[in-house]
Amino acid sequence: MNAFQYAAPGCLQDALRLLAAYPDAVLLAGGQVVINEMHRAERAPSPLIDLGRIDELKEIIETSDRVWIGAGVTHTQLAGHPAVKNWLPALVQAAQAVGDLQVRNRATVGGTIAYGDSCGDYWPVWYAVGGFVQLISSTGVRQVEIRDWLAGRCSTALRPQEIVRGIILNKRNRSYFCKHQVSAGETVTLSLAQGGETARLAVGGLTELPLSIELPPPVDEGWERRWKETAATRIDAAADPRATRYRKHLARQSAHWLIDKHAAGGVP
Amino acid sequence: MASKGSGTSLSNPVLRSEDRRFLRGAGRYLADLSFPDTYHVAFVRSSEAHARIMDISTEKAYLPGVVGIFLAADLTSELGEVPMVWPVPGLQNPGHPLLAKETVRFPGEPIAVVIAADEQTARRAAKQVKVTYHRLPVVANLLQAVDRQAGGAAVHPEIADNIAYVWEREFGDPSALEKADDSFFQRLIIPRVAPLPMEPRGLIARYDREADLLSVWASSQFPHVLRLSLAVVLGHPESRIAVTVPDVGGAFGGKMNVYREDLLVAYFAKRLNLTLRYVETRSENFMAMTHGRDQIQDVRVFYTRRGRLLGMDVTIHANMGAYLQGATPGIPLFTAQMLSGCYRIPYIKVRVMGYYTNQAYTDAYRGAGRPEATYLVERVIEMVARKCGRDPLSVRLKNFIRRTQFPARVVTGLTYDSGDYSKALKKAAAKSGIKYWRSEQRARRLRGDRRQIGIGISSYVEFCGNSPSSAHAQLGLKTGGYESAVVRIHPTGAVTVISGSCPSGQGHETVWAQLVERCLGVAQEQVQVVTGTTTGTPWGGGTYGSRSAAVGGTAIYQACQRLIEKGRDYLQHLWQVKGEAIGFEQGVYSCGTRRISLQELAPRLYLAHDLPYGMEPGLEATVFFEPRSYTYPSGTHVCIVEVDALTGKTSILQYVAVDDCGHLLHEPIAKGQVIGGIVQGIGAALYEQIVQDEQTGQLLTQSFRSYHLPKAEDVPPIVTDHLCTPSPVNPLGVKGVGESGTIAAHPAVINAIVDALSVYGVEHVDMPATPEKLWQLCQMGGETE
Repeated sequence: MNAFQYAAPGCLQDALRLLAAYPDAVLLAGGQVVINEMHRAERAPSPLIDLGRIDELKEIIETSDRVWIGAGVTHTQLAGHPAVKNWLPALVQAAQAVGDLQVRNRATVGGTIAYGDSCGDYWPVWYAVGGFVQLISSTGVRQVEIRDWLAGRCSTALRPQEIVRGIILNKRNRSYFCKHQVSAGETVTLSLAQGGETARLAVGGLTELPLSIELPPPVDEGWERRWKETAATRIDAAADPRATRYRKHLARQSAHWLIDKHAAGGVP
Repeated sequence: MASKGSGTSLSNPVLRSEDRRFLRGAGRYLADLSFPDTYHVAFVRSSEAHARIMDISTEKAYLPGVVGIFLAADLTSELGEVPMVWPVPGLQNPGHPLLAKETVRFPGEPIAVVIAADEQTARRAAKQVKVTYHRLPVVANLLQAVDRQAGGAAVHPEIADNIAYVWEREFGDPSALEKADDSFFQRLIIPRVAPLPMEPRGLIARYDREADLLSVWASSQFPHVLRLSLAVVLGHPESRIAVTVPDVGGAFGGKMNVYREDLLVAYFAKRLNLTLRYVETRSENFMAMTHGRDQIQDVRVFYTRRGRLLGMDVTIHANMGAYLQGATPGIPLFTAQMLSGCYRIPYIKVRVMGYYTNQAYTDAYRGAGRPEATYLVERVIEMVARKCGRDPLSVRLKNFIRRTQFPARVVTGLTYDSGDYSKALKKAAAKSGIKYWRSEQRARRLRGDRRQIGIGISSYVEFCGNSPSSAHAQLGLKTGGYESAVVRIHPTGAVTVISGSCPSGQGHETVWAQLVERCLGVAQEQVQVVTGTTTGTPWGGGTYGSRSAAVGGTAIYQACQRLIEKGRDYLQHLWQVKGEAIGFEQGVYSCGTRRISLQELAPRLYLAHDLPYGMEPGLEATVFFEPRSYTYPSGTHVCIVEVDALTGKTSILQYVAVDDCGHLLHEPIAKGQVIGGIVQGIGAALYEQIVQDEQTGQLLTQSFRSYHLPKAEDVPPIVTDHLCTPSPVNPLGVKGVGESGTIAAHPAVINAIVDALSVYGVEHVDMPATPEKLWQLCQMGGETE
């Protein structure tokens, strides 16, 4: 590999200063994208700013109604954290479904957010539970609603000079996740989350951005049927080259299973 | 140590001695070798499947550290082309230049060579070479070539209809078909897959101008063939080329070829007097290593209502790719030869048609033509059973070649050496609990379960022990099939065994040392195994076609026998007794009360003070073993699947393999070969396929992201068992086991899936049986009901 400049700041402020001084710098999180691109000689960053030594990015903080997950948290750490296990079980399942163990031990939440692969496993869960992506720059902290973050596959609302600080997720009483491999590298993923009156289903892999489906509050008799109908209508209406008959079928079926699962648990 | 002639299995399981090295990460593969002052090679490869090269601009590619960038025009005219050794009669061979000149014909075809001081610079520079293309109409896959869908696209303008050759044979008596009650037609598609060894290909070449010595290190299955090819193509004396093969991390046929990259790296090492290193990336391995299979088989089957298979009329459309590698045209002929399978089929008519497409070359991949044959025969026998409403087990039993019929000459002209097909079938059926699964299947069908059970049977026979050279002659293959061995007992009694058959992970070191121990009574620890070098070794054929044990092993065995005989001749003189009076067991000669070991004789034979008149001093033997026939491993595999009709997903619940590869030299290694082979077969049956865009010909599968190789979680529990009908064609009674798992697995899996989905009216599904495909079939079945 060719020589390149490398910096590993110990705090966010230093990282921001470096970023200001080197506007072409590339930020390195878990290295699952950047290192591979460098290896393939597709990217020759100078300098490379390694965020891996910034401790404040590695925390998970629980508040009364939300969970804050630092950008430097790995999928493995996330899946093992009590607050996430308690309040976002779907996210634990999604984290365990990402790549393989070596990837999960390295890849980070921040890297996932910055890369913005809208077909990734986390996005349906994040869409379903809702929350904010939190960014930091020299001008301060900015928060973007999760569903406004992605602009396309691997395209996000990230601005120059910004670093992803973390993600803030709503606690949900109940959440579910499922993933189907359609073919090599292609998946259909779904997540269902309910907290109080709010229930939302999100589907990844069917449309360019995850399909977000608001569900009516599960109050009246027959809510399961209405949920299924709503889900099926929205899924069937998906117009995208990747939304094949088979994928739609998988999405519909999975929506039914998740709703059945939710119903079997007794709606709180 | 098992004593010779004990009549039992020769197996004597010990741990593989090479694993100490491999498991500790101490293996030395090509990329681990380092030489001072090494320069690195990268290739500019075509991004197009078929295009005219309008312009090549290297201007921006001369990055600091770049030594040179070379195009086709920069190559000297004396330089040969990529060697092809299988000129099937009537073959239209378009030639195989080392670099594309005016036209590129498959995605990844090398256009220019970039040499730089380090690997990254070479690769980055290669990306900076700008090639301007004028796209030409593509033949993106075999189906387009066969159906002439490609709108008149010609891969090579001088070759009409993209047809490389047509090879036809009629075997047996067509009047046998008169007894047929019915016939049916079926098209079977065997997709193109990639061998994908864990270690990609690579080559290091250095040239010593003083000595005029070209030294080459390569990840290869056949160092001597590589040396010969370099000599011929580069015009360099064969005696002044040294090829060394370090540890090889898998090959599967992909490394039994000499590629443009190999020839170019060696050529430029000599021309520029530099040490050059090239290690391909995974994407390059996907693009430019040979692919395997890729046949469309059109079959008409003639049968009786009672389930007797009377004849087949087969057309095999075989994809050559854009150019011919070493054995490309011949691989489908192996398919043609094996069309009788395990059965007595009175009449087989076969026509093989080779086609050029805008795809990478095909060649041998684990099984090389035999998986395609087994797939055809085992799908056909299954369909016959279904059409006759009979149990597939009994239909197989009815058609099998019987135990008493060996050696059995089948209609395609081969003579199978030994086997007991019924016994293997019955053993596999019992071991897999078919009765239980049938009842479970019935229950689920009655309940209309969403997850249906399928039972897949595959009875296979294949040929190994490649090969009798006369068989090559018959098929027009311009190579010999023998193998060499040198066994040398040093004056101290230590032993060196040199084999022309070298490992790419199989465990030759262990097995060869064990074999010498068994023959000569010399402890394995004192046996040094030398493979993979052309320096100081006789010509070696290499490792392919499951030949090591049957051919390479026999060569070692015979060399050992010669040494034993020499010792006996010497003792006859020393002890003044007749040779027959001298026994030899476990390394020790004895006659009456006199005993002396072979190792003890060694120093005396080197001292040569008391040799009989005319006896040469020393104790070593060189053998070139020419097999008189192929060996024919066989067996039955049973695969139990569960297919989820709602998602189309297949889960393999159980897989039982009963194999007869003759005597086993090392049971765990044989078992490992079977299991590894089965997993590769499962991969092809369920997941794998090289795909190019139908319009543009772009390669869509060039990384593991888009090409699903079976992972640990995809591998079902596999139970193996074996039976043994020793091969009569070699003294070890071995047959070969490297490919049989793959050969058997494809139809085992597909037969199981079709069986599961037969409730939906499904009669056939082509590989890979992806969830989407199976779901669609269930939907269609549902609609017709």
